[in-house]
Amino acid sequence: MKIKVTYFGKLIELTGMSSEDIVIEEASVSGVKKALEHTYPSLKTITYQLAENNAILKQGDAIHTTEVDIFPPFSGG
Amino acid sequence: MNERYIRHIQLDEVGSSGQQKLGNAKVLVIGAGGLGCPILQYLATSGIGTLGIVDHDIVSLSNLHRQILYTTADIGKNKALVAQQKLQELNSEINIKAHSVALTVENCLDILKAYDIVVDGTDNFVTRYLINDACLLLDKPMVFGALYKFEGQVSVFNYKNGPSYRCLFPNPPAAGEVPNCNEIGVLGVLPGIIGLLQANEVLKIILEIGQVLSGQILYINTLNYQQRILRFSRNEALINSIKKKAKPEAVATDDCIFASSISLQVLEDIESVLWIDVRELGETPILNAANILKIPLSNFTLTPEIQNDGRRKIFFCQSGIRSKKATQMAIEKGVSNSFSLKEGAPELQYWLKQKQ
Repeated sequence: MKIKVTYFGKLIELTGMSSEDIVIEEASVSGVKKALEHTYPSLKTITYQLAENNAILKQGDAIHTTEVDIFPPFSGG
Repeated sequence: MNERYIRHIQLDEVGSSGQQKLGNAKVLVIGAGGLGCPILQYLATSGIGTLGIVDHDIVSLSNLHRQILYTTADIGKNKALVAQQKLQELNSEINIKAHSVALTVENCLDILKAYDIVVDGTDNFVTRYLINDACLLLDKPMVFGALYKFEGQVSVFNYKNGPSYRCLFPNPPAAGEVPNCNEIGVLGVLPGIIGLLQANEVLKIILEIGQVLSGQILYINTLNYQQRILRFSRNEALINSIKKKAKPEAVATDDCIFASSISLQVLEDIESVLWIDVRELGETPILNAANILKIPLSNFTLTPEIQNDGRRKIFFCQSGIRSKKATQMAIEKGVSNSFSLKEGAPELQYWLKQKQ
């Protein structure tokens, strides 16, 4: 299935865009991560969180919508 | 009624009793930099009765575009002490305490325990996780803010049994994964915006008004005002594993951390400096003097000459990278007044010759 992912922070630079449509095989956090890390292998070593409907998803959660946000931690001050 | 706060008191949601609550509050702001300056200014003028400031760093020229408590005349001075003086001028009716040390595993509980609310205005993951864990151990709310270029995050952790930073990101990113404080640009207004959102959360907590950003993290992109308020839940097992500890442990990552840098450009008094050369033996130029110790980083230990005396301990290497690591280790071992030289040994050799 096709979902829209929106990137935040340095993921915008890493992917070169603020959002895009990606195809996932499984409607779950691991399905989204697998698709992202296939396209962007450097994401495998990067810390990020997925969220949908304004809620952070846990590893193992299913995806219920077609819009997912991808957030890295920030440390600047 | 104190006329200074009349416009606060006129608000039904604040009133005299609310202003009294602000006057009774004790708030600690860790980091008096980009985030810390606006947080401190507004908390001071709001009449927070006791305001603590933690910062071991000194003011440098490149700070001034966003750290608005400081002027060019303050370059080279300790931020906590300068901030204390400026804030006292803003509001002479409050108590302001400067802690001009780096927050470490050793001193964090002692410093934090005297305050009701802790505000994270730091710029590195090591200190953020340290504050988070210390707040868990002491059961104090932590008002968090962080930046990346034109974006910011704000949240309140450990508030009334709410989640902590570790519930969102259990462990810090690996070394080098996220650009650190000194490596990345920032538009001067961004820490002002994010810092004031943090100050707003502090006031809401004390006044018990509105909805505190607990269990939620606000993301804002100031270029397009895209925003998210994301819910996240408490990870009980993780929190319990932290709370079991007698004191926080430093997390293993590698950003700019405590490596407070100092530049030859701001050094004047060469008499009160102990230099520590952390290059490997044989690296050139070789610098010899009575006040230059040689402790290669590969075999780094603190020798008896490195004491908490009045002298500045300035670590140097060839380019300023290894010296940061050494400085961090020294600070973690409790050596105050430790700095990493921004320049390298060749520049130092030239500088020392000029001073002779």
